[in-house]
Amino acid sequence: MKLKLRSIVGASIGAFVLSIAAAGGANAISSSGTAYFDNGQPITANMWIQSLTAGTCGSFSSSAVMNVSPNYITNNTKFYQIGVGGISVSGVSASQVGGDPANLTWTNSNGARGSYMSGNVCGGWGMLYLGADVSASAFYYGNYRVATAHV
Amino acid sequence: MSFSLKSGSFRTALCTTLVFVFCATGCAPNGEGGSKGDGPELVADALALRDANGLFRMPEGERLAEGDAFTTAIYARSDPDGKLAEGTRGAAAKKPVADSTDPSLTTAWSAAALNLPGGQAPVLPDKQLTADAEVAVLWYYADAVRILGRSQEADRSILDRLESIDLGAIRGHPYLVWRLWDTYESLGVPQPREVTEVLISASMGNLPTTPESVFDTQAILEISSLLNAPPPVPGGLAKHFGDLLTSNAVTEDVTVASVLRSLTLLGRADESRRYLEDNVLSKRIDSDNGFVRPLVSHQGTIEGSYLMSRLLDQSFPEATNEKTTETLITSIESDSVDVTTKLKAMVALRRAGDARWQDYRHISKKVTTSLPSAVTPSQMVAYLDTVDALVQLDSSPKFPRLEKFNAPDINDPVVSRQAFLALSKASYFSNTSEIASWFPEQQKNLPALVREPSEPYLLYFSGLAAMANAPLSGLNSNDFTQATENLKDLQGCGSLKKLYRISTQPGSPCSLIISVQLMAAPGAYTFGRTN
Repeated sequence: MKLKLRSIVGASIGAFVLSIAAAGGANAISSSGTAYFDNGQPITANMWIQSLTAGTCGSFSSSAVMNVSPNYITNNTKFYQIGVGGISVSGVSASQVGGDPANLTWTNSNGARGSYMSGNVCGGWGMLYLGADVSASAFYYGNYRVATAHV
Repeated sequence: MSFSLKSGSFRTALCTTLVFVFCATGCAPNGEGGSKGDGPELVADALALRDANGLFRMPEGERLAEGDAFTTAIYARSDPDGKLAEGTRGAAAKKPVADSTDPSLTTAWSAAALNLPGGQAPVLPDKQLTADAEVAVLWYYADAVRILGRSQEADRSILDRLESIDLGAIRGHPYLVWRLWDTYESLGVPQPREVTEVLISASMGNLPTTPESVFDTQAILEISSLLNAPPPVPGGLAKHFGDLLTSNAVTEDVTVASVLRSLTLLGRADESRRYLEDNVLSKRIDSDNGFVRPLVSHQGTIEGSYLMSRLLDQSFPEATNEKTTETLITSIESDSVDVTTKLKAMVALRRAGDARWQDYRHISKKVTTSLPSAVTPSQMVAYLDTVDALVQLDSSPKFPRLEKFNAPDINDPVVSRQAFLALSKASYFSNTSEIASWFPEQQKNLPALVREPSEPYLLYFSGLAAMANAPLSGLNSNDFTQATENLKDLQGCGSLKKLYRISTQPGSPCSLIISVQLMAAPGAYTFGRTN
């Protein structure tokens, strides 16, 4: 009975590690999502991040993009990890949301069509997987739309 | 064996720990745990403001009305015991009617009815254009002179005017005929026989359901009381009136006072007395001036619904019902509604998820083709009000050019607000980029203006709305974050959680206008993910 339990636990952990490897690909993972304004204009959220292993750091890039000029466009990038330890981000110019170093936001205005972030991110010492959510939002012709991407 | 057991326990504990850690940091991979931000609470705010007609009320208009002498006098004249007039007299001395800048006949009548110090003698207005208006002014005048004991001083002119009233024109309205009859009474002049006969022959077949039928019923009861005759009114009238009061179905003071007077005439003075005690004296006396505050009916409007639809956007269907769309369509099809209001109703209908808005696209197309080629500064507010709705319906209007104006004085709140409006809505003009270079003084003052909420608040809100379209201000994302962080102090009022208040005072009302305006301020709201 105990042996069976151990086998199940071992199999679960093994399957989990395999799934991470599959999701992570060889070097990087990326995702994008699009929402639309009433007149059909799209707003797109993009995320690209290097695959990381425990205690290592890698590059990331995220963006909120439109084809036309909104009143403002915001890129909110929030990192998360499965595992233990703190996430740290460096080399990026953005504001922390609520004092959270893994939750960053940047708004471009005055007709800018995009808001971009790139830098380095390090996972915690017990990290098994590090991912991110990007929320691209814009105010355009009196309407607010949000597009998201998740890795 | 014992090692194996320990090893198994260790693995089980590790697994449990890992599962816990995974859940603590990774079970909500959307970062916000699938949160929709301010959305759900904004929908809750909207539902709290939805009226029985399906439209949405504007909380900024729901402040208590100031007590006034006329409302007080209306109730005092319906008070079986005269307590209200007695009680008001002392308190009203805080603001004598003589201080009023309103020289109207009703003010003089109110002062007389309440026996207020400093009341002015009534002055008879010129002859009115319609018979009902003429009856009204003659009655107020005569009643005032009766109360003041000056009936004998009334000159012949009022009698000439009384006699010139066409009885045939008011014959079907017992209340007007009774007022005519009572005016003669006030002046101490015998009533013409035909006036009395019209009143005696009047009767009510059905229970009154409109203000006019309530007044007519009172008139029949008044004359029956004077004649000491049983009133020709339907059975169950007293109960019906009592139900009207307890259900708050009557929302206008003159009508409520008429119901109270009728109850007294029906021998139910105790009910009138109780209503006055419980609903007027104990709840509606304005402590600042001692007068009764008038009833104010707060109803949902097209404007409120339009603004709510803009704020909730794709969540608006969660706050609407069938009544909402019915009322919106009625407004769009009404001949008495102006075109901008029709556009706003169409936007709300569209946001409510009702495809029938497209049946009325001829309205928006007509507005699109009639847009001017240029907008002057004095036309700007009205133009933006219309075009802001229009672009929600027509994706490609040809925007006009905004004619240049200057706003060098940062201490002039009117000019400054106009400048910030032009900046924040520059995309609705063909010369968008050019406008962004205007008003350098105002733009350079923006960092100081938006730092924290301060008086004048309307200027502060305008500055926030403009800060993302002011390249000369030097503001960037960090400044937006700081500005909207301070703005959170203004969010919520009473049961409404996410609308913004008009000032930092905790008791200040929320405003739909300002809440929508602040959508242009990055970070003012945390909207959910919608794709």
